[in-house]
Amino acid sequence: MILHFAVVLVFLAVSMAVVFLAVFLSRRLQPRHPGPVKNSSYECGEIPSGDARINFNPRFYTIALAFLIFDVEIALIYPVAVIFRDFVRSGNGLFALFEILLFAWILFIGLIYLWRNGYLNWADISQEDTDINSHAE
Amino acid sequence: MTSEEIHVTLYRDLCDALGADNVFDRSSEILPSVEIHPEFIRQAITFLKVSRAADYLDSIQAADLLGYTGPVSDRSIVPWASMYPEPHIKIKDEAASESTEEKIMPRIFLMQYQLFSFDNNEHYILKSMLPFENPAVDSIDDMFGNANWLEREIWDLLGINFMNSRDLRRLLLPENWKGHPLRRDYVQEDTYAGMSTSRPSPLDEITEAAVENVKKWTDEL
Amino acid sequence: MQKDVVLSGGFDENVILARVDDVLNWARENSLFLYTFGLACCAIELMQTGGPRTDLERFGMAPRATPRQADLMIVAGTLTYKMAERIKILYEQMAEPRYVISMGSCSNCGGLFSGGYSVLKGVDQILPVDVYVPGCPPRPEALVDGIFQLRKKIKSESLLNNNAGGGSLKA
Repeated sequence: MILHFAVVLVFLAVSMAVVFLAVFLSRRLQPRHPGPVKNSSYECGEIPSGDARINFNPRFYTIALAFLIFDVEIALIYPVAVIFRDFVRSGNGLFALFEILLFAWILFIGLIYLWRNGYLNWADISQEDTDINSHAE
Repeated sequence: MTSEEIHVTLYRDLCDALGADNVFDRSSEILPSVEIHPEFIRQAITFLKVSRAADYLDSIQAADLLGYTGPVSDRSIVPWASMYPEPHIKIKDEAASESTEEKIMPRIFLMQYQLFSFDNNEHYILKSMLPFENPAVDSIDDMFGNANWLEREIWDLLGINFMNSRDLRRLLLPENWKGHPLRRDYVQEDTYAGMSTSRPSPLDEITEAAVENVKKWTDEL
Repeated sequence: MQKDVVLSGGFDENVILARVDDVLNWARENSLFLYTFGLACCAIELMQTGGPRTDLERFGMAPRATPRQADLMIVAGTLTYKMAERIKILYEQMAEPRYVISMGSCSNCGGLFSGGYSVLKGVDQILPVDVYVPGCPPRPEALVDGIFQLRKKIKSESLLNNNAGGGSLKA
């Protein structure tokens, strides 16, 4: 079985070699004249002014966090799918199914909480003007 | 009402408002207008805005009248004519028997304000002549929002100063440009920011090369 | 284990040998990404050259809006002094190998507006131009002819001479 992983090792080595070769060849063959103007920020020809950092809404962070949690959940379910057949053959299929469903159900309750509280909304609906005539002077 | 009638009544009202010494009637010209003493332009425009509901500034125009030989009103009857130099007389053809005198305008700037009234559906045109040395007018960009860019353009290209403007700087040309190009005596510098401002005509180069080639070929014959 | 697969024909029919110069130049001239510097009326003709009849994309020239991803800058239109300062910065922000085509009379020599006070008389006063395409405006066929002249020029480049595009910038 250890020999199966030797294939992975060779695959890894060859892919790394290809990437290094591409970058190395490219560096040897390209004309390259860096300079202060060339390395400056692009602002359509103007001298760059102002700050490059902008503030963004932290709800994007919340959505990314939720995605991460559920992505890890998926990653943990994959091994179960691989060995499920062995469990069924040994008669413990129902037990394994119940266990994995319990795991998914706990996280699903968390998803319902996120959803209902509006943390998955891309834009803040509560701040929008619901009545277009509300701007009247 | 025709444009001439509009400006005749406007002339009368402005005489009452500003004093007959400061207003000049040009309503019988091809383009009827009223000429104002340059120091009273702002008052005239305020009067128009208030009494004629002229709340839309169409345009501000200016021109350098050096060398202009077209029809001009008789300067001598303008009450403030002493502000300006006399138009000088140029003899076009000295050998001719008849008089070929030509009156050429002195070096003055012509300013023209065009206003429109939506309520009355009338256009009003105000003119003014400015002396060449340090031409200056009161700015009207607190009365009309679009006056700022119109005045900046005139300052950029002709050098007429607008006093008490909220922001008078160049609009079309680069900030560090020297001179006012639309003046008649403008001479450009040789370089701008390291770039040459003239270039020998490519046709000259081609012509020289062509002449040399023809000479060479005819010599070989 | 899988059966060994043998390529039929051996070495001669399945491997191409070429000079590095040829491969590089072939790659560069067939994928000239375009920095469309359309300033005036020549820009309309440039847009039409990218249109369906004379298609620029079939030569591999995709239009890019940023100098960082572009190989070829086509200066199409009248350059004013105000713009010239910026076009110099943009040219320097392009990555080598980079080429410049001057399209139309205005960028060749000032053209129709060469008496103007605010017009730069020819883009070659600030940029190294590879191909001049005359016309006012040049027809799409003329521009494509200019691009093919450029491709001929790229074909003659050599790695060891270090003369790939992006010649020395005029001071």
